[in-house]
Amino acid sequence: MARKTQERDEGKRIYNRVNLVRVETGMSRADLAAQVGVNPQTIGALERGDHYPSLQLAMSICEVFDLPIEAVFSREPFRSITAAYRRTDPTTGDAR
Amino acid sequence: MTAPTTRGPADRAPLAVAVVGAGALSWLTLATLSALGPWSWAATLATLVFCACWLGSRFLIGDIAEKRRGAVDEYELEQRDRARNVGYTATLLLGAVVFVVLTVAVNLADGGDDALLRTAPGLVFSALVAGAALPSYLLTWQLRHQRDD
Repeated sequence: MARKTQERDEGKRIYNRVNLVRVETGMSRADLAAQVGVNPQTIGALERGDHYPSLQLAMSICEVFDLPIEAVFSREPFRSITAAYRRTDPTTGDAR
Repeated sequence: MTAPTTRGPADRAPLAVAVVGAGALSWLTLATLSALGPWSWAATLATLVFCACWLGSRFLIGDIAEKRRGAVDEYELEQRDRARNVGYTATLLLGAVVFVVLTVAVNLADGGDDALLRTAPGLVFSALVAGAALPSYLLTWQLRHQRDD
Protein backbone atom coordinates (compact mmCIF):
# COMPACT_ATOMS: atom_id res chain seq x y z
CA MET A 1 0.00 0.00 0.00
CA ALA A 2 2.78 2.40 1.00
CA ARG A 3 4.72 1.41 -2.14
CA LYS A 4 1.66 2.02 -4.30
CA THR A 5 1.22 5.49 -2.76
CA GLN A 6 4.90 6.25 -3.28
CA GLU A 7 4.74 5.19 -6.94
CA ARG A 8 1.65 7.32 -7.47
CA ASP A 9 3.32 10.33 -5.83
CA GLU A 10 6.47 9.81 -7.90
CA GLY A 11 4.33 9.88 -11.04
CA LYS A 12 2.80 13.20 -10.06
CA ARG A 13 6.00 14.76 -8.79
CA ILE A 14 6.57 18.45 -9.48
CA TYR A 15 10.17 19.66 -9.56
CA ASN A 16 11.06 23.27 -8.94
CA ARG A 17 14.08 25.53 -8.86
CA VAL A 18 12.70 28.16 -6.55
CA ASN A 19 15.81 27.93 -4.38
CA LEU A 20 18.16 28.48 -7.33
CA VAL A 21 16.23 31.47 -8.68
CA ARG A 22 15.76 32.97 -5.22
CA VAL A 23 19.47 32.76 -4.39
CA GLU A 24 20.35 34.13 -7.84
CA THR A 25 18.20 37.20 -7.23
CA GLY A 26 19.67 37.63 -3.73
CA MET A 27 16.30 37.32 -2.09
CA SER A 28 15.88 35.78 1.35
CA ARG A 29 13.27 33.14 2.05
CA ALA A 30 11.44 35.58 4.33
CA ASP A 31 11.40 38.27 1.59
CA LEU A 32 9.90 35.88 -0.95
CA ALA A 33 7.40 34.58 1.61
CA ALA A 34 6.29 38.13 2.41
CA GLN A 35 5.84 38.96 -1.28
CA VAL A 36 3.67 35.93 -2.02
CA GLY A 37 1.83 36.02 1.31
CA VAL A 38 2.92 32.77 2.95
CA ASN A 39 5.04 31.68 5.91
CA PRO A 40 8.85 31.36 5.32
CA GLN A 41 8.54 27.70 6.41
CA THR A 42 6.22 27.15 3.45
CA ILE A 43 8.88 28.40 1.04
CA GLY A 44 11.37 26.07 2.77
CA ALA A 45 9.02 23.10 2.37
CA LEU A 46 8.49 24.03 -1.29
CA GLU A 47 12.24 24.21 -1.96
CA ARG A 48 12.84 20.85 -0.26
CA GLY A 49 10.04 19.26 -2.30
CA ASP A 50 7.97 18.56 0.84
CA HIS A 51 5.07 20.58 -0.51
CA TYR A 52 3.63 21.03 -3.99
CA PRO A 53 2.28 24.56 -4.41
CA SER A 54 -1.20 25.50 -5.56
CA LEU A 55 -1.44 27.12 -8.99
CA GLN A 56 -2.11 30.42 -7.23
CA LEU A 57 1.13 30.22 -5.20
CA ALA A 58 3.20 28.91 -8.14
CA MET A 59 2.05 31.81 -10.34
CA SER A 60 2.65 34.34 -7.56
CA ILE A 61 6.23 33.08 -7.17
CA CYS A 62 6.83 33.31 -10.92
CA GLU A 63 5.44 36.85 -10.97
CA VAL A 64 7.94 37.86 -8.26
CA PHE A 65 10.84 36.53 -10.37
CA ASP A 66 9.27 37.73 -13.64
CA LEU A 67 9.66 34.26 -15.15
CA PRO A 68 7.27 31.96 -17.02
CA ILE A 69 5.96 29.08 -14.94
CA GLU A 70 7.84 26.44 -16.94
CA ALA A 71 11.14 28.11 -16.00
CA VAL A 72 10.52 27.44 -12.31
CA PHE A 73 8.25 24.36 -12.15
CA SER A 74 8.43 21.16 -14.17
CA ARG A 75 7.22 17.55 -14.25
CA GLU A 76 10.74 16.49 -15.29
CA PRO A 77 13.87 17.04 -13.17
CA PHE A 78 15.74 20.20 -14.19
CA ARG A 79 19.12 19.70 -15.85
CA SER A 80 22.09 20.87 -13.85
CA ILE A 81 23.35 24.19 -15.26
CA THR A 82 26.97 23.09 -14.78
CA ALA A 83 26.51 19.65 -16.42
CA ALA A 84 27.38 20.91 -19.93
CA TYR A 85 30.69 22.33 -18.71
CA ARG A 86 31.98 19.28 -16.85
CA ARG A 87 34.97 17.50 -18.39
CA THR A 88 34.06 14.22 -16.75
CA ASP A 89 30.78 12.51 -16.11
CA PRO A 90 30.29 12.77 -12.29
CA THR A 91 28.31 9.51 -12.21
CA THR A 92 30.86 7.32 -14.06
CA GLY A 93 34.08 9.35 -13.92
CA ASP A 94 34.54 8.91 -17.73
CA ALA A 95 35.95 11.77 -19.83
CA ARG A 96 33.44 13.45 -22.15
CA MET B 1 31.03 35.03 10.20
CA THR B 2 28.29 36.12 12.56
CA ALA B 3 25.91 33.68 14.18
CA PRO B 4 22.26 33.93 13.17
CA THR B 5 20.35 36.10 15.61
CA THR B 6 16.85 34.76 14.94
CA ARG B 7 15.64 31.47 16.37
CA GLY B 8 14.65 28.98 13.68
CA PRO B 9 12.45 25.88 13.86
CA ALA B 10 15.48 23.70 14.68
CA ASP B 11 16.07 25.71 17.87
CA ARG B 12 12.58 24.84 19.05
CA ALA B 13 13.05 21.06 18.63
CA PRO B 14 14.29 20.25 22.18
CA LEU B 15 11.53 22.41 23.71
CA ALA B 16 8.94 20.72 21.47
CA VAL B 17 10.02 17.25 22.64
CA ALA B 18 9.91 18.39 26.29
CA VAL B 19 6.44 19.95 25.94
CA VAL B 20 4.97 16.91 24.16
CA GLY B 21 6.62 14.51 26.64
CA ALA B 22 5.25 16.41 29.65
CA GLY B 23 1.84 16.68 27.99
CA ALA B 24 1.70 12.93 27.27
CA LEU B 25 2.80 12.09 30.82
CA SER B 26 0.21 14.40 32.39
CA TRP B 27 -2.54 12.94 30.17
CA LEU B 28 -1.58 9.39 31.13
CA THR B 29 -1.72 10.44 34.80
CA LEU B 30 -5.11 12.06 34.26
CA ALA B 31 -6.52 9.02 32.44
CA THR B 32 -5.15 6.58 35.05
CA LEU B 33 -6.49 8.61 37.98
CA SER B 34 -9.85 8.93 36.21
CA ALA B 35 -10.02 5.17 35.64
CA LEU B 36 -9.10 4.35 39.25
CA GLY B 37 -11.73 6.40 41.02
CA PRO B 38 -13.84 9.56 41.21
CA TRP B 39 -12.40 12.97 40.33
CA SER B 40 -9.59 14.01 42.65
CA TRP B 41 -7.29 16.96 43.32
CA ALA B 42 -4.45 15.00 41.71
CA ALA B 43 -6.55 14.73 38.53
CA THR B 44 -7.13 18.49 38.63
CA LEU B 45 -3.38 19.06 38.95
CA ALA B 46 -2.68 16.69 36.02
CA THR B 47 -5.28 18.60 33.96
CA LEU B 48 -3.60 21.91 34.75
CA VAL B 49 -0.19 20.56 33.70
CA PHE B 50 -1.73 19.09 30.53
CA CYS B 51 -3.39 22.40 29.64
CA ALA B 52 -0.17 24.34 30.32
CA CYS B 53 1.72 22.00 27.96
CA TRP B 54 -1.08 22.36 25.39
CA LEU B 55 -0.77 26.15 25.52
CA GLY B 56 3.02 25.80 25.22
CA SER B 57 2.70 23.59 22.15
CA ARG B 58 0.22 26.01 20.57
CA PHE B 59 2.72 28.80 21.09
CA LEU B 60 5.58 26.76 19.57
CA ILE B 61 3.70 25.98 16.35
CA GLY B 62 2.16 29.44 16.00
CA ASP B 63 -1.27 28.04 16.88
CA ILE B 64 -1.66 26.47 13.40
CA ALA B 65 -3.93 23.66 14.63
CA GLU B 66 -6.53 26.03 16.09
CA LYS B 67 -6.55 28.81 13.49
CA ARG B 68 -9.32 29.43 10.99
CA ARG B 69 -8.86 28.43 7.34
CA GLY B 70 -8.20 31.99 6.17
CA ALA B 71 -5.56 32.59 8.82
CA VAL B 72 -3.15 29.87 7.62
CA ASP B 73 -1.36 29.44 4.31
CA GLU B 74 -1.76 26.38 2.07
CA TYR B 75 1.11 24.35 3.57
CA GLU B 76 -0.06 25.08 7.13
CA LEU B 77 -3.62 24.22 6.09
CA GLU B 78 -2.45 20.84 4.78
CA GLN B 79 -0.60 20.14 8.05
CA ARG B 80 -3.55 21.37 10.13
CA ASP B 81 -6.08 19.18 8.30
CA ARG B 82 -3.89 16.09 8.59
CA ALA B 83 -3.40 16.65 12.34
CA ARG B 84 -7.12 17.32 12.86
CA ASN B 85 -7.98 14.05 11.11
CA VAL B 86 -5.80 12.17 13.59
CA GLY B 87 -7.40 14.10 16.47
CA TYR B 88 -10.87 13.24 15.20
CA THR B 89 -10.00 9.53 14.87
CA ALA B 90 -8.44 9.50 18.35
CA THR B 91 -11.56 11.11 19.83
CA LEU B 92 -13.76 8.45 18.20
CA LEU B 93 -11.56 5.60 19.45
CA LEU B 94 -11.25 6.95 23.01
CA GLY B 95 -15.01 7.67 23.03
CA ALA B 96 -15.63 4.06 22.01
CA VAL B 97 -13.42 2.83 24.87
CA VAL B 98 -15.35 4.99 27.38
CA PHE B 99 -18.63 3.73 25.89
CA VAL B 100 -17.58 0.10 26.41
CA VAL B 101 -16.37 0.72 29.99
CA LEU B 102 -19.59 2.51 30.95
CA THR B 103 -21.78 -0.09 29.26
CA VAL B 104 -20.01 -2.80 31.27
CA ALA B 105 -20.36 -0.69 34.45
CA VAL B 106 -24.10 -0.29 33.95
CA ASN B 107 -24.65 -3.99 33.28
CA LEU B 108 -22.34 -5.47 35.96
CA ALA B 109 -25.13 -5.64 38.57
CA ASP B 110 -28.81 -4.74 38.65
CA GLY B 111 -28.22 -1.12 39.58
CA GLY B 112 -24.82 -0.91 37.87
CA ASP B 113 -21.37 -0.83 39.46
CA ASP B 114 -21.37 2.43 41.44
CA ALA B 115 -17.60 2.66 41.80
CA LEU B 116 -17.06 2.23 38.07
CA LEU B 117 -19.89 4.61 37.18
CA ARG B 118 -18.31 7.34 39.32
CA THR B 119 -15.29 7.28 37.00
CA ALA B 120 -17.50 8.34 34.05
CA PRO B 121 -16.96 12.13 34.23
CA GLY B 122 -13.17 11.76 34.43
CA LEU B 123 -13.03 9.20 31.63
CA VAL B 124 -15.21 11.28 29.29
CA PHE B 125 -13.16 14.39 30.08
CA SER B 126 -9.86 12.54 29.45
CA ALA B 127 -11.11 11.28 26.07
CA LEU B 128 -12.38 14.68 24.92
CA VAL B 129 -9.37 16.69 26.06
CA ALA B 130 -7.01 14.23 24.34
CA GLY B 131 -8.87 14.59 21.05
CA ALA B 132 -8.96 18.37 21.33
CA ALA B 133 -5.25 18.78 22.11
CA LEU B 134 -3.87 16.03 19.87
CA PRO B 135 -3.62 18.16 16.67
CA SER B 136 -1.46 20.77 18.44
CA TYR B 137 0.69 18.11 20.11
CA LEU B 138 1.18 16.25 16.80
CA LEU B 139 2.30 19.38 14.95
CA THR B 140 4.62 20.25 17.86
CA TRP B 141 6.11 16.74 17.76
CA GLN B 142 6.90 17.25 14.05
CA LEU B 143 9.05 20.27 14.91
CA ARG B 144 11.84 17.88 15.90
CA HIS B 145 12.29 17.06 12.17
CA GLN B 146 12.42 20.65 11.01
CA ARG B 147 15.64 22.33 10.09
CA ASP B 148 16.62 25.92 9.38
CA ASP B 149 18.29 25.18 5.99
